Amino acid sequence: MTDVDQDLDAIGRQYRQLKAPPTLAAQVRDGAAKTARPPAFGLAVGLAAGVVASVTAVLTVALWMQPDKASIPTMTEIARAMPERPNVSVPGLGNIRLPDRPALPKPEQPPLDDNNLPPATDEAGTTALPSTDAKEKNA
Amino acid sequence: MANEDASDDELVRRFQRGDALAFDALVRRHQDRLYRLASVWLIDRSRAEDATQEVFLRAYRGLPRFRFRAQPFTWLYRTARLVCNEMNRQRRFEPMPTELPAAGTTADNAADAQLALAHVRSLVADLPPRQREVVLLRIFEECSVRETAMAMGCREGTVKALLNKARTQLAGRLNE
Repeated sequence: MTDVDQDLDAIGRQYRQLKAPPTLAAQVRDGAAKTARPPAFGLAVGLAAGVVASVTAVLTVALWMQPDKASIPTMTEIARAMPERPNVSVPGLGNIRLPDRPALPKPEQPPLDDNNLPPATDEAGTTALPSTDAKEKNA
Repeated sequence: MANEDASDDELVRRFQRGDALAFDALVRRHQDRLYRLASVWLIDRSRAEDATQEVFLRAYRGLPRFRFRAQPFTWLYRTARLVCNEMNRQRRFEPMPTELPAAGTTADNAADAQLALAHVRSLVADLPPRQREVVLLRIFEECSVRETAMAMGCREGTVKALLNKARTQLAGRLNE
């Protein structure tokens, strides 16, 4: 053994006299007892975290999907969008097809007579005056 | 077989089966060695007790899932290094204490042990990190070459080579 080895050996022997405090094992035991959780603790924490995450997700989706007021259709738009002959479900009777919506009356037009005839045009595009001969024939 | 005579692996297996006394035996077996290593590694060596305690608390939480791919001491050693590194990072931003608390030694040898500890710290301070580890484990903690290699995660030949280099440097320091 060289001098260096002997020196290191001597230093090592003194160094190894350094011991951990005698209370350390007891402190570790106390700390471990505090660390230990009941088996259900992890389950309870997991469940609580899951509930919080679910509620947050639902709220987020609900807020994201909430329509803004500008996109709410008016009653007129709904009426226009409805089919002409909607099917209506009646309990016990099933789907009933509603009758056709009555057609709106057309604006009244004056009856056609000779005085109301539209002006006739000849091939040249000029308006021809009613013939007096025709009036006489009708009379 | 009593806990004191059982191997580390056996103690961990007993602890995994719910034997708290086996864990106590593991603590008593390794606490001095880990405490000394923490005293060398930590910038503030007064926190060696806290570090050792933290290592065993992590062991208490982690050993139930231990799969025996390494020796329990290797696991404890690496955890101790990790804990000391974490504490050193925190300590850089805090003022250092001026007075060292008494260690767990008796009054007769306390002064010698503290002196030796200071000597060891100064000897290994200038060594490269890997050589420092080899010297601490192989020379001062008297671990076998195999234990040292497993703790450091290298081959036994690497341990021997690092030890030779370190001895040369230490010889220079001791002869100054």
